[in-house]
Amino acid sequence: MTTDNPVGNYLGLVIGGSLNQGVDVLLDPEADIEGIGGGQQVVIQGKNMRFFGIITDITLQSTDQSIKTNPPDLSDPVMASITSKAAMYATIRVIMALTISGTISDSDPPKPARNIPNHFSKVYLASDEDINMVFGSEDQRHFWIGTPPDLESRVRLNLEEFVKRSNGVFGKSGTGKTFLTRLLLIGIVQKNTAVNLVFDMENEYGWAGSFEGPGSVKGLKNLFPSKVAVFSLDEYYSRRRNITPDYLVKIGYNEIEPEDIEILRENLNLSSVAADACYTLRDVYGKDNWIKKLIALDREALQELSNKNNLNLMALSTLQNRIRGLTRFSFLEEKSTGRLVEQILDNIDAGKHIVLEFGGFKDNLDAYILVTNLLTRRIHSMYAERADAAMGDESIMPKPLVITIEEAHKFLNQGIASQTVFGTIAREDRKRRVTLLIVDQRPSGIDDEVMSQLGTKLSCLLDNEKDVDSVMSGASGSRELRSVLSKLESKQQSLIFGHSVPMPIVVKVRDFGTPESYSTLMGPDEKPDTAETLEELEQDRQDFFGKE
Amino acid sequence: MVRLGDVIATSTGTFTAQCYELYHSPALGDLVKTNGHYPTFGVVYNIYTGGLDPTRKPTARGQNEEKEEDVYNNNPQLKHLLRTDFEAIIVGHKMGSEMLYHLPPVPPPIYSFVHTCDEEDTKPIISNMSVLRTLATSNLEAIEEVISAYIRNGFKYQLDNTEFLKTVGVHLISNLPGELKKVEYILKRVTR
Repeated sequence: MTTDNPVGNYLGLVIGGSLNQGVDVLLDPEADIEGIGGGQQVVIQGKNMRFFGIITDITLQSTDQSIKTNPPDLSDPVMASITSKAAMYATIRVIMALTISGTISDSDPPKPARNIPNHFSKVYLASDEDINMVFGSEDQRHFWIGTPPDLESRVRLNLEEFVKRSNGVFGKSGTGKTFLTRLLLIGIVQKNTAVNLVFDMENEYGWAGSFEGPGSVKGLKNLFPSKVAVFSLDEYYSRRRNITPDYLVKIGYNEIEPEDIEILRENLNLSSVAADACYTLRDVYGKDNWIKKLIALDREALQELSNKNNLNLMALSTLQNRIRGLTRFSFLEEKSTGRLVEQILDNIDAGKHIVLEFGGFKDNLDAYILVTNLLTRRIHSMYAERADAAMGDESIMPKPLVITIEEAHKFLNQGIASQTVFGTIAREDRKRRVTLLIVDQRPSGIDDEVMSQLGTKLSCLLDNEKDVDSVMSGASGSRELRSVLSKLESKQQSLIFGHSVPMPIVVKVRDFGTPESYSTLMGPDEKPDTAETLEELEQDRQDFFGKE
Repeated sequence: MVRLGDVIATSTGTFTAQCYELYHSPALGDLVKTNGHYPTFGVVYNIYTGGLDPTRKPTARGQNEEKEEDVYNNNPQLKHLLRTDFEAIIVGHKMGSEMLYHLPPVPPPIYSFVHTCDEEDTKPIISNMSVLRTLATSNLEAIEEVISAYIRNGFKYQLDNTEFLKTVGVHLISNLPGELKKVEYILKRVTR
């Protein structure tokens, strides 16, 4: 435990407050008020224990109310000096996050704060040492995600905890969600805590992705060629980028189920009657043929079908039109080999991480929802079967699977979250080793129940009230943290809170995109210590940098 | 040290002294000290000149005189019928050689001699800011003017008057919470 904080870090004294709303700290006149920001970590030295807290508010106050309406003559240097020293003061509000009673160790980790410090306890800005102490050192579980603003220390996520629950990355468009998500995925690959299945709508994660600035950043496949398999929906797109995907995705009509259409109901602008008709059609034509038959029907046949099965003709006709639209996707074919899901599972079994690129379909939400839902349902059900069969026997339990989905509110909105496989995974499939990594810019569109079940939330800047509310729901001190969230910098700053960090923290996301950063992501100081993975890493390094 | 007069009225927090000579009083805000078992220090806050006999008020005498001095020169009895008194608020006392900045156990006795304070006495008192609290929190009349004068007197013992003013100002603000304007008024009068 460090007890000697540098003098420059001294902020002031605790003068009041409460556990719920945070304690008030009278700022020392010498402290640089303009250098203090919401979201910064502070350490409070109590009588018997140390407290870790977060600054949630800074207030300018004066001992004299008349100062506001009738300020003193500040052109007089004496008045200016004494007023600022004695009549004006500042307080900061700090919510308690952690308490540390002794030395931090695995057996005695920092505990969530249930206490507050005494009156006049001294308050310091957290130093690099403090941050390192709380956020752990680099090891097989902890992954360096970024640094607190104004500090050099490394904030680390506990990725073993991270993959045990579903998690979310949120933020307005252009605030660095993709960047952050890519880093998380790299972390999971590097630390080998789970297997990724990424539904990569914008083609950002597999091969080099774009980032806002010159050049591009390496994707998972660039960094870990031997550990990542890229599946592509669009051969031409891959070819144009001179990339050879490991697998091409083809989906047969026979693989599409009514549930896949149901989740697209809103996007396809289908009535619930039309969506329900899918189930009838499946019953009539059989699950392998219902789409093929439906799109082939002419007007009379459609009329006859409608009469026979008591289906609304208008609805049926709309449904037929929309499904014909879908069948124009080049990755759909009449009859599939049926190997796709097996291929994915085989790769997962081999410990490979899967990135499914949408290629030219990147702006096509219908394609994204259709494929993501269809594959996830199947993979999930097979995975769940295995987990159930293992009956808790750790030795044969499948490795945790993290499914990354973008535009998550399309899969998890209030209307359909309870019916889709994503809702099920987010709510209860922790025990079956399948979790979601939700990436979204409109978290308010996601079902509350799903949001409340997320283990760790990483949020970049959000300024819509509803979105902020939704992200903060269920977090302790949420009211106070709201202000921190809405004041993040617009790029690459993120508020992280939840299971995989000991306390909420604002981080400047780790630099990524330079040769140095790539070498540290694969670098010697972070490589796992098993011989097998070392070899693989070496292979990756040679693939990437060439033989030395 | 100059002897100024004798204590003629005394109480826990203040004492009144009569000057030996008419108009030979210390100035407002000056530090004075009494003799006695507990040499007591006070800041002059009121100076008063009037008839010895409160029932006999002075009457106007200058109508036929050319100069004001002539009124006194031609009426030598006046110097015996009029007297100058001054009142001081007690800011500390000495116990042996130790200076204590609180009230003496008993106020100075009547007929204690009252002296001006020399540099040796004044310097530590001026630099002790608790005196400002005694002054600022008293309810005496025109106390702002007294404090201004007291601070001005302190200037001659300072190397840096501005720094001294800043220190004094900070203490005044903390002793007069919510009365920043009053403090500003006091400090303005120190320098102008």
